[in-house]
Amino acid sequence: MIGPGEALPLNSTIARHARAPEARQSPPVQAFRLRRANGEQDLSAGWLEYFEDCPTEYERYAAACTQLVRNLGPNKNDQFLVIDVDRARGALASNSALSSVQIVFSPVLNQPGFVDNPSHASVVGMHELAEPLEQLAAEQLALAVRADRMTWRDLLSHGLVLKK
Amino acid sequence: MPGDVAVSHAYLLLAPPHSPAGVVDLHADSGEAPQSWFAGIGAAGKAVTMVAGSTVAGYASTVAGVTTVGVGAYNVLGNTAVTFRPITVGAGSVSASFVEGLHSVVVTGTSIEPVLSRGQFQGFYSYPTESTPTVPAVSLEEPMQSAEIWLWTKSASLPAALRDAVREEFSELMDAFRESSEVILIDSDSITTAMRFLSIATPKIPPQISITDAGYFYLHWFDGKDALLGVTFKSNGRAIWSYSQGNPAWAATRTAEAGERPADLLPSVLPDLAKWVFSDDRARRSVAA
Repeated sequence: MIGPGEALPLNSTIARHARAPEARQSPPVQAFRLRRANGEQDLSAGWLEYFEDCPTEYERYAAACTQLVRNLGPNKNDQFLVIDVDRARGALASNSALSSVQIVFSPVLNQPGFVDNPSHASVVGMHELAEPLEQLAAEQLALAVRADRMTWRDLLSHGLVLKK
Repeated sequence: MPGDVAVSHAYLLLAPPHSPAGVVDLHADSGEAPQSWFAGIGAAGKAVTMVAGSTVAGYASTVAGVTTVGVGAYNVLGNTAVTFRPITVGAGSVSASFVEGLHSVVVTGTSIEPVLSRGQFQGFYSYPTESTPTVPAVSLEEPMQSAEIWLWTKSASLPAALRDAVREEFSELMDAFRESSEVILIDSDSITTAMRFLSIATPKIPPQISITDAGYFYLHWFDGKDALLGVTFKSNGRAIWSYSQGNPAWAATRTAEAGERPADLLPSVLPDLAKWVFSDDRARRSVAA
């Protein structure tokens, strides 16, 4: 297992929460823009492969979402996007000015005001970018979103997530 | 009509279900001058206009013994409605008061929603006003409708097919916002600039529309594979553009670039980047530019 701050390994997958208005576009660019009004510096996500004991990706996805929602208040039609990390890195590499954008393991442990999330991952390095480059980075990340995704309502109705 | 009102920034907000301590500060949320806001609350039953000398509006309804309360507030300069999500309270426990001079509104009730603690809550402050606007009572749907009316007005000059597609796309976006619990800002100047861009650039493919965290219109075009053009229209008339696509001659590579410039200059720049998006009516664009 890698340590905090290290880049996620090859063939990694992350899940990211997207509000319903953000999730409806294809690709869902707004889901990858920093919410600067809220002081957001990094994009928050859940690392599916952290749950190496889960036999299927479906279960890893559900486990990562379960961890994520402990610090979120999703609405029923919000979605949990699945991002292919290798593909995201490939898209980000299309402009060298985006080299500062990294997808890293960043477990949330013992942080005041937050519930622990040992599978947490972050997209870091966007906050320092100029506005045009931040928009470009968000678009490249959005292009790596896979088609399979579920709403919060779906996850609940299928019993795939554990509520608080 | 909102389009007849001179307004530089008209924000449309949906406030969170509650803020800490149940207080929503209109001034802090809006960024507008504090004297330009009103707020009010109506008694259970229907939308009302209340308080002599000031026009404020509230919304409340009782269905199956559960009362839902909403508050409408107005930006005098922009005639813009601001509405909060409904708060569900126990039947018969709603009361409201409006204190002249302080222009504050206090709502008390018993929450039955899990997001609010049981027991009394209070919320909603507004600020002193200098004039008395005449605005109609509104329901919770009104802010979204105002946004749609604004877009309809500004999109009137678009070619019919593009106009219809933009309006439908925006309407669907508003539907998604109706289910959101977070504050949503929409900058009307950004809408105006975006519609002007579309009327000049006349893209062959209608854009997808979304709203940035700052309330700006973001239009993007996606070819369904790997080419993506995005433009954010800011309130100062400038636009952030970005474009990326795969390299057909070198499958493993992509090109990506971005920049910022006056929005009026984009119709003469972007068609060369994303030929698949725009029409070939370059003569018209060069004249307009």
